[in-house]
Amino acid sequence: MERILRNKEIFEVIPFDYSQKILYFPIRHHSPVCSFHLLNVIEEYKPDCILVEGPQNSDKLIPILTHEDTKPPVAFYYYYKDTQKLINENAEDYKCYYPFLNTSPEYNALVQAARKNIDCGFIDLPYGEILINSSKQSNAYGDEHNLTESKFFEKVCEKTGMRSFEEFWENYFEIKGLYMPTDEFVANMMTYCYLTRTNTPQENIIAEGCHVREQYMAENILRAAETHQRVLVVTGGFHTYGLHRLTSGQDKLKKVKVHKFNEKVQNVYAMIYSFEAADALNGYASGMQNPGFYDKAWKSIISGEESIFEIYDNVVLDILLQCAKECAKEKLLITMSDISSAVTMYKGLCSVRDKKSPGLYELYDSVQSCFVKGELNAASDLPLRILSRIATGNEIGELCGEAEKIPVIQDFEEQCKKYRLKVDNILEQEVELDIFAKPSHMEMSRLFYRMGYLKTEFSRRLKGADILNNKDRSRIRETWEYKRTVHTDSALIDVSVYGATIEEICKVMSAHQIKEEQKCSEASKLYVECFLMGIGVTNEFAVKTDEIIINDGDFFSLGKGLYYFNMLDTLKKMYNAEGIVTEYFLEKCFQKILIMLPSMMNVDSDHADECIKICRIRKSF
Amino acid sequence: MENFIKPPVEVRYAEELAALKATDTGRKPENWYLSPKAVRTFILGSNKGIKYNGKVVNIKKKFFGNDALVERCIITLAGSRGLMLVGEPGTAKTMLSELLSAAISGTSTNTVQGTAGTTEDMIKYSWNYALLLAKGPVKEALVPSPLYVGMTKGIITRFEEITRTPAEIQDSLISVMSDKVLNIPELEDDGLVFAKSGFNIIGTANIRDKGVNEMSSALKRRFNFETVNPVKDVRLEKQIILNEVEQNAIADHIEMPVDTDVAELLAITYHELREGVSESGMKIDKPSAVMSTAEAVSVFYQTLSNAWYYEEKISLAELTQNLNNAVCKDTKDDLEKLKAYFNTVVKFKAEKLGGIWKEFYETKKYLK
Ligand SMILES: Nc1ncnc2c1ncn2[C@@H]1O[C@H](COP(=O)(O)OP(=O)(O)OP(=O)(O)O)[C@@H](O)[C@H]1O
Ligand SMILES: [Mg+2]
Repeated sequence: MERILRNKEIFEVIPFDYSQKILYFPIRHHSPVCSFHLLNVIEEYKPDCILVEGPQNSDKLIPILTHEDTKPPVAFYYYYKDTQKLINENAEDYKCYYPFLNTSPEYNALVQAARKNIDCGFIDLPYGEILINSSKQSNAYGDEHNLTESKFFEKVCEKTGMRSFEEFWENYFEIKGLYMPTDEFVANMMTYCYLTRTNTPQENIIAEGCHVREQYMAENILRAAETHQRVLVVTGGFHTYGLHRLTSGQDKLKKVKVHKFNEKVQNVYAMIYSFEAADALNGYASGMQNPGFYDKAWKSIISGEESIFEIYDNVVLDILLQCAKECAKEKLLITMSDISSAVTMYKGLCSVRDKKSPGLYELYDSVQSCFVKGELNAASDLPLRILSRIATGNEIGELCGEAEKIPVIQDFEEQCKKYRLKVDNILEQEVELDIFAKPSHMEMSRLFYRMGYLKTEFSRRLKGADILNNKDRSRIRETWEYKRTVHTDSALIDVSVYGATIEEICKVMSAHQIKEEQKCSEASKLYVECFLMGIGVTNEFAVKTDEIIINDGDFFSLGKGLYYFNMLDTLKKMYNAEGIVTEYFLEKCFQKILIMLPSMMNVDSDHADECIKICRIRKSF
Repeated sequence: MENFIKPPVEVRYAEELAALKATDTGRKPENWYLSPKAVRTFILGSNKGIKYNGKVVNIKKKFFGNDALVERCIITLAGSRGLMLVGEPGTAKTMLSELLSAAISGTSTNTVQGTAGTTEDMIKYSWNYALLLAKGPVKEALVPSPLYVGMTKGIITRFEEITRTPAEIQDSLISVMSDKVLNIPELEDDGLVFAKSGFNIIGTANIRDKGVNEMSSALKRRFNFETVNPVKDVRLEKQIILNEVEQNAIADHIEMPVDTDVAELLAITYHELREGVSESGMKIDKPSAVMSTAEAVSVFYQTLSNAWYYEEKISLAELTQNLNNAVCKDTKDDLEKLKAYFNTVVKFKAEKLGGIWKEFYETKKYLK
């Protein structure tokens, strides 16, 4: 690797000097060292236009992103509804996130552009168009698996003795890159990306839509170059070579046609985000793992207070100490001797592994060796869990006031206001609802049930009739506890593709759900949930339910159905939900049960009780 | 080498060690035979041969499956804490501790074997009573323990199966480990033995052992612990079986090629029985016997030597019998579990893959 990376011959393939009219800066998402050198390049090159890889339909959010009140982590949330069946026959809804952290080169590039009044913009296809042009869909914009999982990388791993791409990246780029002059760093980046690119089969590049995207990006770059002198292009390193070939005329440029979609079909919003969600370890497909760790490194890089060469030594030590402190909070004493032994450990590993500074891997190793006492198992790995928590980080971003709210969030906030729910407080709140006496209380109860159905962890029923489990049925009041957390918002955003209001989303999602069900027990349970949420079921919904009952041959599942429909039948008047069809299904279940009853003659004693219970239900009405 | 049944590591790999030493440019902790980097190379191998004494010496990989663990062990030993290797039986704890001692101190034989009967004087020192009576308490009359030797020579003392020794005996290590001094009150003014640099302790402990004596937390604090897990990757396990069996065969002058298909079959069998699930996801009742790589090696080696002395080629019937003996030595239940394994997983593979698995399935009748 050393040998492959040292040469600057790559600049003959992709030029990098400040006399270029178009200058490519290859990056990896969320990489501090890329941001570090990118800032240098902006200083030196003095571009009059900065173009960033990102769906073009997010241009309108640049002022929000770069606003001084906006604090990363934030993300762009895109949705596209394939109502015209341009992707496939399923007419599905799609969504994805594009996170920005303090460490993200894209974010830093745009902030610099705003500060220095440089023209800037996104150049990639709009989100829906990317989907239409690729055969695989990812939930994250800027998927980097081409860089991190390539065949070429396997060879590199063998040669360098690194255990994973992440370790390789940290050692050769994140840490060693800080010691390099910018052009040498760029040469290394370009060489690595070039070799990865040329080792990736063309058909993969086409299948992933890279091909079309690059055509579109190149077109935008050339257009910008017509009106600007120095255009700086910031894209994932995997694209650099392809883009350069297109803009330098080595590959032929074809015009990409894009559809016109209205905002109902395709749109993008800015939202607050968290390190936890951005951590690649949580399955997020692009960007670096352990963002909290690298964020700390980045903060100390830009503070300029420490020598670049001590950054990682200091970050590793800081986090080690923080980890020890938090272990103590959880009643695990870490002594001075443990700490000094851990320091010796990461320094020693650093030298055995030929690294310039310790990084995340040495940090984990030293905590494992020196903080974990006894055999490593689920009972003893607390220090490692704490470390991983710290390395992920728990920061949550902020959005400036000007940011347009995602419709469902807006709806949520309006309803909270309407019912005077206190959601700007970090404490749990309690309300008591007299649901049969006050219509507004019934509505609130429904809101809480809806929020529960959407898995927002917003509300919890403490007291009240538990209809699903047939407990406390006689209670006429409900007591709820609620609290708005980041999770509440992100869960709502996650489903916002299904509609603009909470009610609408619940309706769409329950209709989706019934399509998946096969058992009468589950279908009838969903009926109860809809009933509690105050969601009327559609005709299609009812037809599907009918089908499920016809096809269900499970006596006990039908028995459950009988039970639920019977209950709804008795309750619906009280709950003011008379529109809901119950008698029909009740009758249906009953008939099937009657037919199957003889086969229950030989039911084993384990199930006999249940069988008798089912037969009793009918008696009750 | 001929004279040993099982030569110690430093003899077995004398050439590799000498070649590494001759070309070692790394900085060494005081009294170390090799530098930390060279120790790493010795244990984890290198794809570059070393030119030494007019030929190229290849450094083979000896411990598989967790390079980072080996690196941590080396760094621990260069520091002020001891190293404690814990894990299931047969995960190469002893082997690793021997390799580390040989590469760091040039010898792997300075060892205390922990048992329920280990006493404090076996750990610290005892007396030659004839001399003691004749000359009184003088240094010559003292019979040094491996710990004493380690301290005075500045080499590693290995403490095997430390948790089998009674806890209060274990605790006699505490003062030695924290102050690096051994106090011999009988010698009065001469009675303080200071540890030379290079001294350290590698303990091993088996976490499946019954009737062990939990280490006191005071002693635990003086060690860095490393948990050695069974190798997860079947291909690596096969590689280990091949390597070890080949080495043993050379030592015993058995000139028989080691059949890689059989090694793979055995590696898979051991792996599946240990994990309790087959490659295709079938559930398997795990035997209570230890299903370690070391056991697999010994089953294979028995089969191989049997073939060498009595038959022409490796027989699967023999392999199955050896497997049977190894797995079913403790309880009858394990026999049923092994039979069940044959009747489900092996049968399935025999039908699907045929070949050696079919042959293996046909040896089912030897399970008893
Ligand atoms: N990861 C591994 N790398 C190389 N060899 C291995 C590995 N795991 C097991 N082996 C093989 O198994 C043998 C392990 O035997 P060893 O006696 O060292 O195990 P142990 O962990 O000390 O077991 P016990 O707890 O029973 O004392 C080695 O000699 C080697 O043949
Ligand atoms: Mg052992």
